[in-house]
Amino acid sequence: MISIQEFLKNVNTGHVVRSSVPMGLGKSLPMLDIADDRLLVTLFFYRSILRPEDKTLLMPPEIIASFEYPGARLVTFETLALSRRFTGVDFRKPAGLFRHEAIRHLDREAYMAEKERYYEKLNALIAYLGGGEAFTQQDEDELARLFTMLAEPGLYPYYRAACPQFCERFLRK
Amino acid sequence: MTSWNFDPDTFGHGMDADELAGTPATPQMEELDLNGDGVTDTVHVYQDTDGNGTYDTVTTAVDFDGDGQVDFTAVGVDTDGDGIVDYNEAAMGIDWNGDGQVDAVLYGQDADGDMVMETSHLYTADEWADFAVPEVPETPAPDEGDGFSAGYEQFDANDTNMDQVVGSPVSDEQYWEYQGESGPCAIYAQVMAYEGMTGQDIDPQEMINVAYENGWYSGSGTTMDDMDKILNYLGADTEKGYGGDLQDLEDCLSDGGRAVVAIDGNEVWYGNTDTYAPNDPNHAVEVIGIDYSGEEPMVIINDSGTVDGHAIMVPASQFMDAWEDSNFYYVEAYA
Amino acid sequence: MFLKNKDFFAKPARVGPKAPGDQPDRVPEENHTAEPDGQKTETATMVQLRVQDEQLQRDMAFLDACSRETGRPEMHKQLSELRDYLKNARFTVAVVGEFNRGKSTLVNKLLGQDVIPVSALPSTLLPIRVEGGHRDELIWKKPGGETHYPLKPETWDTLEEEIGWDGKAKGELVLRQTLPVLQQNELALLDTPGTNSQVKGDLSMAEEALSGCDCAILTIAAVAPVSESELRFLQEGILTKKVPRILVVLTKLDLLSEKERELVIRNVQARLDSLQEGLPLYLSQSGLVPGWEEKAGPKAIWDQLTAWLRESDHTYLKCQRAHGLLSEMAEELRGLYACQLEVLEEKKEARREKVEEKKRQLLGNSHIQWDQLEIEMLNRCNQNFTWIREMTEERQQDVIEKLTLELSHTNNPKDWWEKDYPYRMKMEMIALGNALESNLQSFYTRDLGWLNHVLQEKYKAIVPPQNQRMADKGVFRGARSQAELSLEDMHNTRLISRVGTGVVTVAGYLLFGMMGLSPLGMAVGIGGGIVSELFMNRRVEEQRARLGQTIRTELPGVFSRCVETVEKNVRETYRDAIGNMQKACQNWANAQCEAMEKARQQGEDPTKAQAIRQKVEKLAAMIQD
Repeated sequence: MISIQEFLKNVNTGHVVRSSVPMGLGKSLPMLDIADDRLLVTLFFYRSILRPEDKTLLMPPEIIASFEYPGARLVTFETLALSRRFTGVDFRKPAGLFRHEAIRHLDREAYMAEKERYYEKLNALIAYLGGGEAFTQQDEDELARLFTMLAEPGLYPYYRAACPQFCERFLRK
Repeated sequence: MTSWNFDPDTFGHGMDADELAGTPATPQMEELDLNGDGVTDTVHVYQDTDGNGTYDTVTTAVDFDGDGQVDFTAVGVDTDGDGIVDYNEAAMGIDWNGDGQVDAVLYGQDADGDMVMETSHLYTADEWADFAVPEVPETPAPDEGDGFSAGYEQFDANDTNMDQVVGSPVSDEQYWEYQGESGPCAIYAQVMAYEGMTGQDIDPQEMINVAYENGWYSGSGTTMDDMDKILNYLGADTEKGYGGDLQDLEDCLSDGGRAVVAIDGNEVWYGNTDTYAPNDPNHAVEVIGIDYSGEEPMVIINDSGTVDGHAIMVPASQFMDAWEDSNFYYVEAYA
Repeated sequence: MFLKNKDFFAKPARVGPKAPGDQPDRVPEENHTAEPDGQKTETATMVQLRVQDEQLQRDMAFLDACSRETGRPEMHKQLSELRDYLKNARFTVAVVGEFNRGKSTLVNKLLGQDVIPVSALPSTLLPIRVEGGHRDELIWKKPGGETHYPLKPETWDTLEEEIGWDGKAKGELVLRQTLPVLQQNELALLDTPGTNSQVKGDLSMAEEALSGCDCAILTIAAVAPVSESELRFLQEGILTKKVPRILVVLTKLDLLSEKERELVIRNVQARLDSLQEGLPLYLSQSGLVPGWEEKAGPKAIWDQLTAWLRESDHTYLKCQRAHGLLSEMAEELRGLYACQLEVLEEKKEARREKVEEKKRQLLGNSHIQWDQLEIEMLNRCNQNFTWIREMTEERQQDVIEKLTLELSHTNNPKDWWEKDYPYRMKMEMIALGNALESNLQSFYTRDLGWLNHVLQEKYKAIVPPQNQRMADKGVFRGARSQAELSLEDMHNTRLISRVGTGVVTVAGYLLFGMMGLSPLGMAVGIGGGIVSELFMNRRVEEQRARLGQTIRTELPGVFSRCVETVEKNVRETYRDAIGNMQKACQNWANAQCEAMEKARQQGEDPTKAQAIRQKVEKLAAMIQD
């Protein structure tokens, strides 16, 4: 079974991103979902506009997509600007700033390391879902801690909209 | 289980699987006037998301009452490629009291394509408002910032042995332009490449308009698939594909061509600064040379994404790391 | 990917410390009663005290979910206590009673050793559980963890300091003893703080202890026998808690005179019987009252306890108790859900009425508006009629004048009447038809445009235009007056007349010539000719006049018949439009009503009511008769 890191790489070099995701949009943190007994990885694509001094603008996501794990086959693709769910969103206005408070103390390497930890916890959860080793309470709390810390507060509504079950479980206040 | 049937006249109307099969992969928009009043009330957007030449995703937006607001949206996906939509997701605004304001939104998913929503949820306006954009501290709007400086060293012909340099970075640097804070990096890269090859002066804005009209630019950006369209439009021959390496770039430049590559913007934009971004977007830059004079080869690129992005020198290892994220995707262009 | 744990997201999130009853497959179960090997499992002679009833577990999980859903955290707590109780492998005897009723003394006596310092602070503030263990030790189990103390005389003083008098201390003290009497029996004694202690929370401690015990010993001091509060506690705290075994122990009997003792015992027995007959009464001390030897003293009590402990129906009783508790909870929850259902139904009814009212209003208002539209369209239609009449009248005059003029110039009215007139009429009528058609169509388009504008604005509907000719060519082409007149062909007449005149002339000439009057014969002949011409001319005039009259009298009829047909067509066309309008409006109204109905149904979320109904049914099944 491939790791979530490899999976994301496959998504990034797959035909969906190549043909349907404008360059300049980056991926959100991946989230897991189960539908119809299939394991899905859901993420959204959004633009960040570089600004110095922790003033990088996070624009509202433009696309929410779900891919089947591990094959990375596209399952859902939602263009937010066309979606009735998001008519209240002004896509020209930033949704938040980066870096947010929870990660302000992390430099680039430390941030990448935390992200890697998040991926590893996802790998553990995926393994458990497939019938592998137990996913303990400690694992769950750690995954929640990492997700809550890394997810950008300005984008919380979009994380929730993209993958409600996952966020209910792991996005903690 | 809540049963909610789509109106077949509204959904997926107009193009069937036979018609769809074999159509080019360019997203296609279809405007329909379902109530026959001469005004478009329904828009279908067909997309070929898996690039097999067959549309597999159709997004439908319907304005039932002609008020210019979309009342109903649905996304249908043909997940198994048999030409039949087998996954649907739809949202419909409901105005309980007829005051023209949406009071609730019915949102549902049909996972097997039988047009019956297996799961549906009625969101109240308040719940729906949860999707509203939260307050953001006051910042200059996009495209009103001063831009970002990556702090790279620029190529200087006086500091190197030009015999060890592939390409023509000195002249190509002159064609560099800053794209601003929006997303047409691929168009700028193509324009810079074409200008470098021909010496012509092309207005990037004009090319953005061309790309927009032809569906190669969504207002948000250009897909990797369309990373060569402007070059073709201007008359250049192109080759594109995955799996490029430094040798390919060198050969291309030596043959008088130019190369546009897709890299992880984060890894190059932020260059030598301490800043970083949360996501890792694909970003198009033009490779204008490779300098082999130092211990480590330096890849010289024109990056329209940063204010000091002209002829910046990126160590080959760092460049390859950034390029790897797109599986070394590149476009070679020849005038 | 094949998912084995696909219910992951369907299970509730567990935030914070692990709650009892969580999925054991995901979190290693903590063994709170971990004991050294050999003591962990019951011996063969021991009765199985641990209840492992899957149905019970499922019921508890269901009730737990219901309690969360209905916002009853205390029920969740009760369930978790119940789980602990069922899981507990020891026969737990809770010694309860009011303050200073000799509870700790009784425990000590039962164990044959002073393991709990009587009147010491800890025993008055926290429950003390005495159970067999590998070594002597004292453990303070607190919500945040537990502290172990070596069992030395000064330990109690240390504890006293730590616990303090402020009553804030929480948890339970566990006194592990290597006493053979405990080690041989899977039995734990729980000494509880006095139920009438002034320290807040003690009563709940006693109640909590009772909810998890298999047997309750209520101590009553003979010096103050069976107070009202004791009776109340026995009733509410013990009997209603469905503690499987109850034993009342009369203590401090030695402080009374011999005479008083019996009196007190009788009194106590009577009061207990008043609550529930058959409650076993024991005396804490033996040898004090004759006839009570079998039920007096620690040994007798102990024997009773161990007899119960070894009774085979113990787990059954435990289950019974659990079922009883669950039944009570189920009943309470059923009440809550029934209430919810009622509210839902009420809301449903209210919503239905509201929607019906809205529908009535909508239809009522719409009908008034449609009637107005219909009247307006009919007015517009009538205006067309006025125009048609004015227009045709004018045209009719023109045509009459034109035709009569032509008639006045023709020498052969019959010929003109039969040949020219039909063609002329045809042309005139077609011209009229065309003029009417084009004008009427433009009026119709204008009126329909107006109607559609209104419809679009109000009902999001339009009426398709009718491609129906109103002034049909056929109507006009065939319409002409061709009265069957017996007209003399003046040409022939004239010829005949002229031939005749010639014949007369020749005959006259011959006649008068034979008579020698030839010129007269000629004259007669010529005169006849002249007379004949004059006569002919008069006949033509007559014919013209007659035809002119015919035209003047009959043409208006032709016109009016055409106008009538046109008007009929116009009316039909407008009627069609109105019909279509009504149809479109009705469709709109139906769609609106349908949408309202659908929205109402969605708003009602029948699945919710259904789900609640199912829960009520399930809860009802759990309620014991």
